[in-house]
This record gives sequence, structure tokens and C-alpha cells, in this order.
Amino acid sequence: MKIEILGTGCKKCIKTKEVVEKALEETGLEAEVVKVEDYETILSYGVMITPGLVIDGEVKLGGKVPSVNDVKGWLAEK
Amino acid sequence: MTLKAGLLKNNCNKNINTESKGAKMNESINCDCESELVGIFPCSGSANVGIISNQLALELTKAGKGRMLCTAGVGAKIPVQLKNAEGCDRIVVIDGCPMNCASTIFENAQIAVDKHIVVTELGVKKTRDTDIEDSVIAENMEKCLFLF
Repeated sequence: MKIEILGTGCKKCIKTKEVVEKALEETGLEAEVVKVEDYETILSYGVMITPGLVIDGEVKLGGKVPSVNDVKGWLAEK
Repeated sequence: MTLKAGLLKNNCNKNINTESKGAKMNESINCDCESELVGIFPCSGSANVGIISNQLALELTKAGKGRMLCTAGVGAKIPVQLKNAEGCDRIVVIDGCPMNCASTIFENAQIAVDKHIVVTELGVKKTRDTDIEDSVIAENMEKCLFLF
């Protein structure tokens, strides 16, 4: 599983990373977590506001920090 | 169990960040997620007032009052465009005329609008003119800023 965190770097982006880490830890799942800072790549997903979260190529969230439960829910779908 | 969450790696050639903890992210690009995010959605209609709505959204974005986003994408219910809208802290819709196409798009998408501006209510008469004077934009920009 590949999780991409879209954002150029700020509190919300960092918080999103922490939330993803916590969700992975609590579920025991493995994932490759990639931080995407390149706007071209971010825009290629259609995300206009950051932070964004993409799991296996599917945009799950834009502009908000997800909750741990949100992420766990998306992970469970995989 | 192997956790890779701390092993962030960048997938682009620019802005390489190799730190896995503390997430020292690149600060060379202005990130828009520090402050309140105001999404500005114009109707972008074809009459003069629709064109003005689009231009006002652009000017308000340039003035740092928010971020112009895709109203058509919300209308088409494109999932990522809906997520963009839902990710805004506040939503400002600029309609050209009382047909309220843009605000109706949000109503249909069941996304709440925080501020609704109608260009004709700012005192602009709806016409078929497509050449918009800079002075018209400037005058209505001031009125919009007052409404913000």
C-alpha cells in the first residue's frame, strides 16, 4: 500500500503525517508513506488545497487534517 | 510488523526531504494550509456579470483573501473537486446575477456557503458585453473587500 501526503510543508501537513503514522501503528498495517511537495504532482491529483491524502492513487482528503479513525477506515477498505 | 510511516521519502526531484522524524518539510514554497482557507467560487457565466464574478475571484485570490477554486468541478460532482470544497474553512460564492447558478450548485452538493455575493446586487447591470473595463473590476473589488 502506498500513502501519499500532499503538501508543501506546514503544521497541518506534519500533523497529517503524524495521524497516518498513528493509524498504521494502531492497525499494524504496512505502507509506504511518501511526502509529495511538488505542486505539479499535487495538481495532477486535482487537489487544489493542502494537505491532501492519497491512498493507492485515490484521493481521500483535501484541505483538512484527517482523524486517526478516518485513516483507519480508509486503510480498512484496502 | 514493519512500520514505514516514519520513512517519508519524496517522489519528486525537487524539494528533497530525507528526514524521517520531525518532518522538516520544505518551506521554499508558500504552503496554503497554515491559515484559514477561504474558497472563492465564481459562477464564471458568459454575461458581463459572470465574467466579472470570475475576475473578482481572481483578484480576491491575488489580494490574499482566499483561493479561487473550480465551481464547475463541484457542479459536476467530481469527487476530488467536492473534497477541495469540503476542505475549505469558509466558502464564498460569487454569482453574477440572481439566477444564482453557483450557489445552487453548492445547494445541490449540500455544501454550506458562508458568504454569497451577487454582482448585480453590487450595482452592475447585466448585459452581453464581454469587454470589461478595469475600472469596473476595481470598483467592485472594493465592494467585495468590504463584504469580506
